[in-house]
Amino acid sequence: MSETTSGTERAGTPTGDGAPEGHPDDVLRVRDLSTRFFTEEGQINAVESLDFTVRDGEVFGIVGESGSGKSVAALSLVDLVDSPGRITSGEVWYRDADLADEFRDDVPEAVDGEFVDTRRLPEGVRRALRGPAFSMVFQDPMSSLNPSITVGEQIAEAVEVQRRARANPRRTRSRTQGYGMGRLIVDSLLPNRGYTSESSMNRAIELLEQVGIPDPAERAHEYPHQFSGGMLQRAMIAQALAGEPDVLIADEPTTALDVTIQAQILNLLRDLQEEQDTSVVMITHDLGVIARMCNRVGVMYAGQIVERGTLSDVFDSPVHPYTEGLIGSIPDLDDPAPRLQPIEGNVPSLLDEEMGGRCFFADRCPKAMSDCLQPIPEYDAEPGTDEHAARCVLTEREYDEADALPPDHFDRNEEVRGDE
Amino acid sequence: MSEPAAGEEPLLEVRGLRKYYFENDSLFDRLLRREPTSVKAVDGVDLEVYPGETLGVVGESGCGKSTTGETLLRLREATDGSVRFDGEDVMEMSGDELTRFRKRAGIVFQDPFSSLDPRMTVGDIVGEGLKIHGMPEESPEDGRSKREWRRDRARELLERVGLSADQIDRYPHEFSGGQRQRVGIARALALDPEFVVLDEPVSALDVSVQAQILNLLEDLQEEFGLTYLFIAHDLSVVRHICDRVAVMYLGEVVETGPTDDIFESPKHPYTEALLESVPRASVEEQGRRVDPLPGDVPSPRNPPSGCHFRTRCPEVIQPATVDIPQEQYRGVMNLRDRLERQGFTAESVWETLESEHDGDDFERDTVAFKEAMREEFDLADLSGATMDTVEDALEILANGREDEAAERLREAFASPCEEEEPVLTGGEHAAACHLFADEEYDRDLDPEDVGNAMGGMGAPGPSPPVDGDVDDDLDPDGPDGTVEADADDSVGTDGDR
Amino acid sequence: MKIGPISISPRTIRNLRKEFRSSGLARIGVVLVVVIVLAAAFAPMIAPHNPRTQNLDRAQLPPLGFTDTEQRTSTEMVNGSVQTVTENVTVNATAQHPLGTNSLGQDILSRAIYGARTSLLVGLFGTVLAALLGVTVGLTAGYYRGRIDDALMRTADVSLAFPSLVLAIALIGLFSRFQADVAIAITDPLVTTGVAGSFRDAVGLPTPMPETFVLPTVVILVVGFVNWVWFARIARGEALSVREEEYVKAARALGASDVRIVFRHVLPNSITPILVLATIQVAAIILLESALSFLGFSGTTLSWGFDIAQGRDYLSSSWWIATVPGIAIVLSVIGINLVGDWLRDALDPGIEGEGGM
Repeated sequence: MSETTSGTERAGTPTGDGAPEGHPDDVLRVRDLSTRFFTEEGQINAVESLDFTVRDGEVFGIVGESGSGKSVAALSLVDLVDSPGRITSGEVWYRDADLADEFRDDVPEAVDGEFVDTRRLPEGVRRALRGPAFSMVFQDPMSSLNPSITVGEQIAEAVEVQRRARANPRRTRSRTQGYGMGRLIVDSLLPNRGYTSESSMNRAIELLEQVGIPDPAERAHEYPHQFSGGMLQRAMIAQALAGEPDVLIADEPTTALDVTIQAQILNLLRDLQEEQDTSVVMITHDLGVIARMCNRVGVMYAGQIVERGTLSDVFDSPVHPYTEGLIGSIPDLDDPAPRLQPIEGNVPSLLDEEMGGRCFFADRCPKAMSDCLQPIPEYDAEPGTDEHAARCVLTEREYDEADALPPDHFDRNEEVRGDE
Repeated sequence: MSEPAAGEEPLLEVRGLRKYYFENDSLFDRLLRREPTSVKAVDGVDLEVYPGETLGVVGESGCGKSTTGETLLRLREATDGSVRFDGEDVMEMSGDELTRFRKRAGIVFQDPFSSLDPRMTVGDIVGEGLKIHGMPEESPEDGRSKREWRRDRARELLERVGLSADQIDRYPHEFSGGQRQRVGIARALALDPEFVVLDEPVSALDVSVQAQILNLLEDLQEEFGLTYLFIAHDLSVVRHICDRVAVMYLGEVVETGPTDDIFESPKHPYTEALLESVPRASVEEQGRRVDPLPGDVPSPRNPPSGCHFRTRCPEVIQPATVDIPQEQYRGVMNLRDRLERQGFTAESVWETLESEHDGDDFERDTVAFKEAMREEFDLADLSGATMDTVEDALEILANGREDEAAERLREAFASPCEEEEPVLTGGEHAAACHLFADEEYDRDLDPEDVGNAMGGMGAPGPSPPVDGDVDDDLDPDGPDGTVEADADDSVGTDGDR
Repeated sequence: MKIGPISISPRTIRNLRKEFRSSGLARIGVVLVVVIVLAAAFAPMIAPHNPRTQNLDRAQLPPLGFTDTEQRTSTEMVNGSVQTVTENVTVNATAQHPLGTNSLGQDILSRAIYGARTSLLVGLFGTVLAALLGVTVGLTAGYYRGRIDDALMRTADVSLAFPSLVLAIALIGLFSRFQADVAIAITDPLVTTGVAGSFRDAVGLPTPMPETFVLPTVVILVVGFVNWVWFARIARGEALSVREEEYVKAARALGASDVRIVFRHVLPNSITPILVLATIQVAAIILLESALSFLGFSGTTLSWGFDIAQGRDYLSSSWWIATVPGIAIVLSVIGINLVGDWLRDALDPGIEGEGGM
């Protein structure tokens, strides 16, 4: 394990057993979540001790550039990280009173009040939570749907799985029955039998209608390639809604779409979220999407949330120079400012050996000081509240030129030079 | 950046550019006598780019903006149209002429990964143009070989775009996306071009890196007096870097004009909707609801007749005999459109009704059918003669005669927008929209005069419709008084939605 | 490192080495190929006998470790009448002919070693010819598309429709009508310079060795012509995808000629699958050559296929005559295919540059 996993202590957040304290409305509390990829080039610290909470019926935004680890963070939440990646530490506390009661005696360390730590639940239970508790919408709908099965059938299948799960909750077997060998043979002999019952197909059509697909009864029998990008994204959302999830995780749901279609999808997500009181984790690189959709925001850089708070905390009074830089980089649609203020340099590689125990942004930071050369814990930006926090020494002290790092401090063989 | 001086000749002038792709056009298809279908990627584009300016070409994917850029450089052969570069006809060039043109006009591509040959060093990539054009023509006087001269030039260029000269022997995969894009820019600059097509040069980059590249492009333009054609889908980038903008939709330019005019007082409903849709990165954006354009961009295989945008336009002009709220008219149009494109059949509606019906005793009830259709297409509030016509058509439809129902609707509700293709009118800030052109094409005026006349009448819109305020009031105080009266109805109701 | 249009980056070398270390099959393949290549190259030095020297006294000796009983019949005068006497004689193997001898008493090991020369040379030259032809056609078709593509690839499809052996025999028939010689003799430098002779004297092997070596040129032309289609198809597919890359567009925008684009950009970026195919084609052509010489169309008698044909008549009595060259064919084909797999696995995943994400 790298030394960089240290330093998550934060005033007001006790570590150790039990769910971290937080807002009473929290539905999800993530603490110290780390995901590593073990590749040929070395260990990649894609997610580095992540802490955040998601409340009932809110939209929590995670914003970051490519390579900041935001998508891996999403996958880690639902435990879908594939080899060579592995979640190496952390707790994902999810509020579910029934589940808490069920496991209070069996797995006491995984239960705290109404919260359960999904990381400590048995694999089968964790899998059963995908759908009714968490579900995901991915960036690329074209590759996320099976091209050889009709859209309606794919959604109906999700409905079917959820229905079985509800009839016999937390049992993997109940959700997979009917997919056995016998069924397989029958299906290959009678190709049009389908995996889905009529009632789940009807539910699928309802879902398609709910996400605004015209002629749902007819479109349900079409294949993904017959759908446009926007329609496919709607179908993906319908599929994610099949289990009526408490938390919907949307990973760059509009990045592949044009602006006018993006506006449609954002409206749809907003409507669904308000109607069903779902909590949404919105992951995107687009600060505009964040601004339109989110109540609270976390800014990710190099696998960490470097700053988090309400929308106005982060947009109007950012503390971390990275957040400032990100906002300064965006050309304003309503005001053609004379000059952009980019962040110099490039996103770091996340290779464990190259990370070192320092603020990961220090090499690009215009305000790097000698204090930045140690691991930076999360500081409260506004003492007393838990809302606005940043992993930056500037939360605690003013920038002092006397302490500034010499400009060539990180120039071992860095090639990049900014334009300014 | 400089404003085009009055009376200056454009460096690049594109007239009626068309690029069609043909499908089903192989030997096999010809043997089977299949008709080739045309995909109209670019369908009659006019552009002028003046020396020293940046013209932005903006539009959604599939609008033909990249194809335009590549066709006017003759990287693709145009189906029709003319391109004049500094007075010479690019389409007619061959041999030496074309080689000289290639030297004067460069291009930077979108994808920093596929635009650099992975098997060449960046030095070779940057120097390739020099080698192709046999530069330097004579051995340098300082005793360097031609090869050394080219290497030194490549080093200079790498330095200029913000890379370091000692990276000259590295391969593209050793660079990040932003650095690769710098290499691509250096390659385009190697031949000292006057004109550069920038084909989405920053859309594959992260915002922080995007800002670096935008600044670099601005600096280079100033330093070398470059003229840019900047193709993009990101409106805020276009606003930032362009002097003038052309907005494209389905292979056509729908609006063109100075950047500030376009962004502050857009004329074309499509431009308005586009601007409205973009999420702003500011706190005021929170919870802002936009009225998005309905539906998808139609297929360029079979674009709508008349104005290509009419199938999604929130301000379609109603025929003189009809005067109903815009969304009801849109509902009628949608119904007809779907019928005409064989999007659905009466049978499918019956099936839906049947599946929603719980008992076994389902009867085909025309009243329920019409009710369902009214709900689906928001036709419930119709009244008077309009309602009668629609009821009539629904009755026909319920009996399974889709074509006849469509015909009935077409007779009563055909919009001027579908009958005639609008042309760009309005002089410097021109839009191709019947809302602005009605008057003129009736009188058959020269577009030039119309532009001046309208310029005289128009007052700049007092409130830009795109300010970040949370409101649904889209009412663009039309810049030209006469036309506004026509459009007012529809726009007004649109705002009330 | 750069070899013609092929540039080998350190990353490629790393991949090759890694794949070599992790795959046992790759190692077996490389060892087999290296052994066969060395044997073929230094045949005049290491072959125990002149492969053409006949010695009927020593015909049909078994390989070491085996004995053979041979029925000898002799006619004798017994009691005034002529009688045919049959006796079973045990024939022992001798260390001088470790793999035995054939019906003419030629040393089988030596013939197998010399046969490797024929097979490899035909394999290599045939592949080079097929690749030159096929890659040129394929790149042209893929780069220009349209009618040129239609015409070239339909031709390729037609020639694919013939079974390759039948096509090869037909072509040999065609060639031999115009040209008397189906093969040319080339002098063996190892022998004529005396290097081989002095080496053999030093280690005590019998001399002299054959001064010339027969290269079946017609077979090379024919196998090249039979196999070009595979290269054409692969090269066309690669060209079709590479021509759409933006760097090709960029080169065109700089004013590069088609020839330059094809040779500077399209070919180098298509070379990996072509290389892998070429490796596998060497094996395929070796098989084809063996089949042709088995059927007697080769023009040289120093060939594995020819030896198998010779041994076929003695399968029941002297199985080793056909078996040894048979095993040689199998080993070389397996070895080359394993090397091909190794190259494919090492060069395949993410052609350089894809790792930059």
